Amino acid sequence: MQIRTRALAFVLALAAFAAPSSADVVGKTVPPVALEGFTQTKAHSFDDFLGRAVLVEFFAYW
Amino acid sequence: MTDEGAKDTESFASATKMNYAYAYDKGGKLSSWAGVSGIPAAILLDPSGKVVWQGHPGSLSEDAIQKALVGALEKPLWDWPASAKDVRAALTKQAYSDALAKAAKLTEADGGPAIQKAIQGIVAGKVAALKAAMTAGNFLAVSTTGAEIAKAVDGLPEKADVEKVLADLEANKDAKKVIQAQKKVAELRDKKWKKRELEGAIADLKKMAKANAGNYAATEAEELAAELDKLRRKKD
Repeated sequence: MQIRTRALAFVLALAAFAAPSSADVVGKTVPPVALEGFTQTKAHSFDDFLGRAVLVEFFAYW
Repeated sequence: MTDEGAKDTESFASATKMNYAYAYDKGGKLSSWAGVSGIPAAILLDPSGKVVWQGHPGSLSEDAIQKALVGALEKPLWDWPASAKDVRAALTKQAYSDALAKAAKLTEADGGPAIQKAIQGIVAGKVAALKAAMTAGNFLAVSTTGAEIAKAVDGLPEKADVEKVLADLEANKDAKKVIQAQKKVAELRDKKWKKRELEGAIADLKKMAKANAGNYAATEAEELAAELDKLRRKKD
């Protein structure tokens, strides 16, 4: 399926959560962010995903 | 995130057979930018890095995914052939004209035409977003991203379009006032509100919306007032 091959699921582990905020970012371009420790991918930085459709899922555990 | 955190994440990933890429958002910068206040939460980005959808992962629609896939690269940058190394370097520097010229030299077997098409899509997306912001009267977005986009499309036919938008912004006599008001709304948006402050903030925003009636700052002030109102009710 085309979607499976091109859309990329991408999960971010978060240590903690910030105070509630409800910024609507639809239509905004993601600012340069330094993400670390890329795992299960050949990407080394967020920039490596440029040109692809990317699903970013925020994720944490307790 | 600590090393211990990384260890926990790795065992969690293998225990749940999580087979997709993940990384650490140290300090929660991306999540706070996206306004994530609880999980699960997700954002979907198009090939130019623009957010096209935001919400609960379970509510992600086929339609949103299709939209995000328009112009997407078949192969991620790290899978590009060695011959496309220079194109990739130009692309991550946002030097689109240079990237296109270099991509034009690639053979079809190396994916040259597909890469060119993808770069053109990224450029078109950026220019379209800038024009849309101008049409909506979102002068703050035009003024903050305009110069960078103009530089990125230097040497391309789209440059004229971008310069036209910037000239229109310059010529708009209300723009300065609207931008000031938009900055004020943005400041209020970033503030961590205490419950007792919300009522006053909502009243101030409504006043701002009235003073800016008909322009984009009013729309933003009204939106934020509605959000803060929701927050106020939730805490009651």
